[in-house]
Amino acid sequence: MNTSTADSPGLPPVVTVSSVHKRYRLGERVVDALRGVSLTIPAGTICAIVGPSGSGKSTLLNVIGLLDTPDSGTIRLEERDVASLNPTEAARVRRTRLGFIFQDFNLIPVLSAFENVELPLRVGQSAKAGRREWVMSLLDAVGLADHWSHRPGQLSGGQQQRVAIARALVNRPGIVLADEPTANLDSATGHSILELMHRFNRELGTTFVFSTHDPAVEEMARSVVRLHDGVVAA
Amino acid sequence: MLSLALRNVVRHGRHTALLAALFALASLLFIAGNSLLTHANRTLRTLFVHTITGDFVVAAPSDVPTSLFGATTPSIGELITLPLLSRLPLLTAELGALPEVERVTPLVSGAAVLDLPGRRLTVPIFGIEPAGYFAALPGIEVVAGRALQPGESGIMLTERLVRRIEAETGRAVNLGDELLLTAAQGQRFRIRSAALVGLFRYPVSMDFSDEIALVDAATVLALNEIQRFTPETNADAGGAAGALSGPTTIADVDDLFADVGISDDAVGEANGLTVDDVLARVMGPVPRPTSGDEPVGTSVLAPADAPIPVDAHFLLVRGRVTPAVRDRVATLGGEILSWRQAAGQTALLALLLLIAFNGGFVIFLLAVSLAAANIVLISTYRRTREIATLRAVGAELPLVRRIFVLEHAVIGAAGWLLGLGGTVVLSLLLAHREILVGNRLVATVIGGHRLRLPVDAGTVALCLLVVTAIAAGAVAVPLRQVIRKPIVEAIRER
Repeated sequence: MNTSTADSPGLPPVVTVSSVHKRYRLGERVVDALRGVSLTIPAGTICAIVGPSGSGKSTLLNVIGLLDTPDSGTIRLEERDVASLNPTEAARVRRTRLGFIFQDFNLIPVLSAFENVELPLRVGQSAKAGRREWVMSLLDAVGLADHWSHRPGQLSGGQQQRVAIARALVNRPGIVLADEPTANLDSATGHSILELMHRFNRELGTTFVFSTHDPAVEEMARSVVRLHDGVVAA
Repeated sequence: MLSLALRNVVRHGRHTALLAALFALASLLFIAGNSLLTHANRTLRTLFVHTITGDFVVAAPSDVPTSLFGATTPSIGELITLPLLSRLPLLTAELGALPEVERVTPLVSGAAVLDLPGRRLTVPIFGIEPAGYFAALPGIEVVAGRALQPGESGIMLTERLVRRIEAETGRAVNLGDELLLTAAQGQRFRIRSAALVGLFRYPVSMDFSDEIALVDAATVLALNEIQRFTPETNADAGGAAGALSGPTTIADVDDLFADVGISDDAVGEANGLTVDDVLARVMGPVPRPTSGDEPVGTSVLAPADAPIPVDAHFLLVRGRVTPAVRDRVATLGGEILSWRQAAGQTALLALLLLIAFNGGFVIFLLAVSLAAANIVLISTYRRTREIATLRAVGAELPLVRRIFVLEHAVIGAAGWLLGLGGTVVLSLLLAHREILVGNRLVATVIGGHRLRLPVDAGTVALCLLVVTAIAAGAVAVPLRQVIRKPIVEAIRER
């Protein structure tokens, strides 16, 4: 078993992964994406999961984010075992405790920046009171208050990723999972996105876990978990 | 969720427009077609129930489907199969006493060749008992002359028939004219005359109903005597059996000529008459109808006495059919015909057309559903990533389904609204422009010669239900396929 603990002394773990295995079938080929991964991520940290392409970074983020289920092993989010939740319960956890930032932004093209950020609140049918102000304050925080009515097609890649960050934070989650958030951005824009994460981490105490294979990005993280061929590297 | 669905409807403009156009076309056809045929059926019902059949009809049981117009069509040869009600007085009395029944009136059905000045035509003749008949069928409007009186021998024709014949022949048909009615079968025939006492009008003008002649029952019974000689109807003739075998009955043409003498008066009167008229007159005297033991043989030109029908083919009834009514009728040897059965082929044809149209429309709807499903299939697959994103940010599956179903129901409703608008425009156009249908059959089944399209509220509501259901249903299958896909796969779809 490969175990890693991201360094953040004194803070309780927000994510605990124990002996997680995940196997995929790619046509005729069977791929062991995760082979007994164990790790602990303390609350309030910025953790980078690094490794080469195919090392299992995205798979690990997906199982932590309940977008996928592990074949075996346990995952605890804020002390709750979430590895075997049914789809409805998993959706509820994603909605209330997790935020997602995707490599391709995954904004809904027919919705404006404001509506994209507001979407998780609508999905969660949260109270309308103060909703508009909160969404606008997030857009302001990511520097897009003037672009609130723009649709994704009218925004640059960096701006779209900023909208995605605002959307990930709108439900005030404890953990934001970001899969290669800077992969489709130029280095300057990528750097500004990571700075934004740092800022929210400081101001809101949100834990950010992101995957990357870019050493320059890796340096921005406070703790690093290295994956290689589906196992945590020493 | 409604606002989210509405927003998606508006912003997926091309998809929405395509689907809405499809549903608009389906709605227009559904509403227009069904409204037209429902109107035709309603018109026919109004016409028949209030003016021809009553709410239902009691007939003698028969092996072949019968209507007031005969076994199949109102032509002389086929009327021979109409059996008589064997216990008419008892049926009349007992039905009349039931609380469900408001009015009962007997009807003798037949067909005869009617001689009008310059024109001879075969018409359905209804032998009626005037007091009961006009009370039971208040929709008949007497527009000239007067209604037949109880006990009076006479004939009433529709105003439209008379005006048409007058226009075609250029000869006037006057109240008081003695008109000849001839019933024939094979080589046997019988002739009666009756004075034209009045012209009437049905609330809805149709070719087949415009030709109906209302005649006193005694005259029609007498004309029908010739038909009772057929072996198959003899057994059913009931009260007429005595008359058939009695000495006063004329069996064939030879009998008709037995006592004929051509008088000078008759010759004198023949001036200005057609050959047919003269021929008809020289065939007299022929027997009067009998109400029992009254001897036949009075002059065809002489006014009749006032016989009350002792036989009738039908009882026209205003009231409700209940199990009690049905039992009573069955006990007394009758069977109940609905107004539609009694109306014969016209009403049945209209109903069949309605059924056929809807049958055809079901097939069309299936095609629309398939087309819609294909459009929705493509658009839903294109939105795989959007659906996965929704799920990733925490939308539960029922919520995703609700959004998509609502979205498509809204599109269906929009299509329906467009279709309804189109139908209303069409209806207004038809109301302002008089489009006449020349074909008699088509005119009958659409409820008149003038093409109208009164939009039927029930049809409109049903259409909304059907179209929104199809629209919502069309998204169900592709959505199920898409949401089966693991989020991690779906979210990477391009």
